[in-house]
Amino acid sequence: MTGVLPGDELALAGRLFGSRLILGSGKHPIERLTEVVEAGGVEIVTLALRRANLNGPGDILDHLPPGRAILPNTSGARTAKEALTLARLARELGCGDLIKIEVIADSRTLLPDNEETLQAVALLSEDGFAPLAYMTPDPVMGRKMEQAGAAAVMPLGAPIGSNRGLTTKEMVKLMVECLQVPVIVDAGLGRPSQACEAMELGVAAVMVNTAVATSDDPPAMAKAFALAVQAGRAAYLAGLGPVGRPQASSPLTGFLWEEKGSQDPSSQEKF
Amino acid sequence: MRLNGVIFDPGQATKLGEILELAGYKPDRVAVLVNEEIIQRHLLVDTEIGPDDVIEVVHFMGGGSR
Repeated sequence: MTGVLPGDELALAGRLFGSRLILGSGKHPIERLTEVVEAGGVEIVTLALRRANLNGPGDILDHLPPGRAILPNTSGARTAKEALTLARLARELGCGDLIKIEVIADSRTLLPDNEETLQAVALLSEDGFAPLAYMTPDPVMGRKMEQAGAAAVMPLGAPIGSNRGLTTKEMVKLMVECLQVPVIVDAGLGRPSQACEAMELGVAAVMVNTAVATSDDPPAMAKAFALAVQAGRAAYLAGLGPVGRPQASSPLTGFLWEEKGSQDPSSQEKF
Repeated sequence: MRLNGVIFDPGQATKLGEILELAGYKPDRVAVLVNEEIIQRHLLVDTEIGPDDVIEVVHFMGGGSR
């Protein structure tokens, strides 16, 4: 289920994707990941790098359906330099150049450090990566990320894992208006309707993880998000109507029970 | 040598590929730092490891954000 409109693929660093729903693979039992990815028609899955644990749940790469792009993230990095090390390790694992930069130094809010992230974008870009910058929404910083070589920016909708929705809507909207690179809402979306709303603003894609992984039926929720993303994209392309004063959408003349003196001459014909 | 924070006895093995397999890892599914330096994939199997080296083995796992 890709549902892509003809000629409307998501372009990221020269690659085209039919789905605009990116899935974070955290919190999912890995044996269920294939089902979730397939149900959502997901083509890009994020993965994290950690110390290998022989007593862990197994190799997650064995549980990804074929043909999906892996988007490694630099989670765990607190500085630009640590992000560069994680990105290079991911590249040694054969993931190509796409990388989601995630630099978090605040363990209470888990908000990204935009300043370190900007430095990481510059370092990774110089090193041949196509970095996607996870960031607190800010159109001015977004432009700097773009100028430093970001292939996309990933503003959060709400703090990670919170399921609070698109609380940063106005800033995300400004980023869409100001930037040339794709804007991808990442983190905080809890409901498909919120993903739909983000897509209606013109963001290029949305990424979800917790909302799917913590639902009662993750494959069904992945599908619900995919449908919402398609609906929002279609609405954006169609162009939303203007917001304004009350305005009837049916003709205001020719009523069966017209008040005397208020009739439009054209409505006085017998029928 | 230390491997992922634990002292590891490699026996007679001196090459990284052998050590990884002895420890139970699949060399094609991991990335490795030796003394904080990343070992490139094409050098991974044959890199010589000394008794004082510190090896960190990482692999992919589920993750969206932190």
